[in-house]
Amino acid sequence: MKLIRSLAPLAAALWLAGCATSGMEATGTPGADPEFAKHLVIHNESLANNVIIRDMRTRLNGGLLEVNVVLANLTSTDKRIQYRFSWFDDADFEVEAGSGAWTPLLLNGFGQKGMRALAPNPTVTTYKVNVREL
Amino acid sequence: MLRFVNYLGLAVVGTALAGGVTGCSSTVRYGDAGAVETTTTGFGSTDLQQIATKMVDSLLSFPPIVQVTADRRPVMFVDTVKNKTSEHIDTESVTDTISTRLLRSGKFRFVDMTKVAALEKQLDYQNESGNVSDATAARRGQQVGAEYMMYGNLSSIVKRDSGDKDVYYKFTLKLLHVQTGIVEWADEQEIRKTAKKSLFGI
Repeated sequence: MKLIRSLAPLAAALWLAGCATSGMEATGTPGADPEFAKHLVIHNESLANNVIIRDMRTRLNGGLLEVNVVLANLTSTDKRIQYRFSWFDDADFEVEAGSGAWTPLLLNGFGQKGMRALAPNPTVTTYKVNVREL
Repeated sequence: MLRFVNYLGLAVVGTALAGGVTGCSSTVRYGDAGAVETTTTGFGSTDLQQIATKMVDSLLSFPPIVQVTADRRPVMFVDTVKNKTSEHIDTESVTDTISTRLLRSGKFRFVDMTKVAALEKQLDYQNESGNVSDATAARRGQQVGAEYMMYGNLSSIVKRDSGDKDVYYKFTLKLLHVQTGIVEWADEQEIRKTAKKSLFGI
């Protein structure tokens, strides 16, 4: 609840600034404090008020970056959303650019679900996840 | 008076048809190949991409496979994925996406069993035609045998009730060790799609 209150002004500001895209975007770097590494940009006020990113975790699995981002639905109604991961190397070049597909996800009322993904190859050091309404 | 009404009716229909013919124009646009596609409940691009991503992630993060691929790139070949659904589905396209992603991960290598005849023809040409120098000709008996075989099934359960349709897909993929015959890894991916026919078919 505190998180929503703190994000509401940001969402409102972005809405007033006239953001055209609908969805939210988060980036993360492994090794950093999970709370500190969270960088949340909300493009859609209504979605941001209903769905939040509750947790973001990373680890190395067989040399590949593994990510788990937990989404939570703050409303009692089911939310149909879609998400897409993008992967970047240490020079901030996108790895396997254009190969990522949007994945549909059903978030039950007041439920939460993890979006888990494995980097396409060992050169990946950071990632980005985009979430938008289906 | 009746004739006038008939003429008027014909004129209106004719104008509408003419307008329809000249007024309709198709627009071609490029779309996002990774966008979620919900045109029908049939097996679509989103299902293919979702299955391929989940299967590759599952295989590459499975602890015994992580161990095997830690310091070498095992060789694999892809057998068929049986289509047990009532739809026509190009399952080779699914396995193509999976094998491409596995190959690009740098963790596995592949032998392509669909190209054995073409490869044999090329080896014949290089070794027996007399046109290729011995120094550059690929020698026979140097190919690498596959250590693993990948195979699977795609099945579906379809239920209909008046205008509603529910389709459940289950994709099963397995990795078998050729020498021992042991299935080293398997996973399932389930997809449920529903369609409701709205009032007046709108």
